[in-house]
Amino acid sequence: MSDTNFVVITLGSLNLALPASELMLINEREKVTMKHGISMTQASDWQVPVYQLNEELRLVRKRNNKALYCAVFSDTNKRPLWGLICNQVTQKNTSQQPIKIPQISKHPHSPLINVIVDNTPEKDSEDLWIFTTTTQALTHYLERSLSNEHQDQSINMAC
Amino acid sequence: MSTKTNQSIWLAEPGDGFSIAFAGSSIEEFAMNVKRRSVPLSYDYCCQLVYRHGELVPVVDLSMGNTQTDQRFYAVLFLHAGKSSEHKIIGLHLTEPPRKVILNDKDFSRFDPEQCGHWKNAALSGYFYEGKHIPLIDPKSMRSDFFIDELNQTAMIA
Repeated sequence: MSDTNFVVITLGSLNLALPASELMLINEREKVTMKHGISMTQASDWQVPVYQLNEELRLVRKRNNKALYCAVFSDTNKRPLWGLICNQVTQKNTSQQPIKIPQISKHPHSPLINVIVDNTPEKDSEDLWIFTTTTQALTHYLERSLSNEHQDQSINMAC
Repeated sequence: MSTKTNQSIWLAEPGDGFSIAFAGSSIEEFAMNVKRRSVPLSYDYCCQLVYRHGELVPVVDLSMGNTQTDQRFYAVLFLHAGKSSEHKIIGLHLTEPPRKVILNDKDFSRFDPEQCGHWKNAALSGYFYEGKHIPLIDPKSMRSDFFIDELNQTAMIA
């Protein structure tokens, strides 16, 4: 991933960076609608599912009224895949090199890859940490999370 | 010809109910009040990172859930854990500052690694001191599958 060309989406206290080339559009939150119990939004001619993750990257069902945007990401063929509800979307340019997350510090299913630590001296506040991922890695993670959630529901119904 | 009979080592308390030790050469630095960040989707024994000299250092913290742990400060012992260009250092959270102890060679003969829980998988050797079996830890082994797998068996994702 190019360190000069990515978008950062804010999920609570988590800053998550994805390649800017994979961001298709940003919809206002109002353009997310419920269809058959699934949150959807329009992206060009497509209806895509919309997910909400918390700052620990867990799927959340409860509506977050503070989140204003829905960022829609696409695959390499520019086909929209899914949207993410988020508080903020920014384009970030930095000269800081991404540093790989140590293997011992992440679960094998984690979509997180690197950390960019923005410690520019003009800032008085703490270093800004940005965790990087890719649309592909996040897609696999979302699919796995949804599958696990479905299995849990099936088990609960069986009980 | 003289024979060395005394050795100095550093005694550490990781807050998991075990006392462990390190050779002085294994230690990079001991730091108090360390600024660290949580990593989403990590195991709770190693869910924090410290940004140090341009490197992301994983911090092994086995004191989680230990209600006896005093959290007035957050102390980390930075250890030499390998020669590769990335991740040369590993951190270990301690609940007390480490203390230097002088041991006699005979203390090492009474050591039983089976008394050291998960630390036996990272022990080079050990000794018997003040009624405790204390493993001498190789920090490189704290990255080994043997050590991590045993922690994984009991760990939850943070």
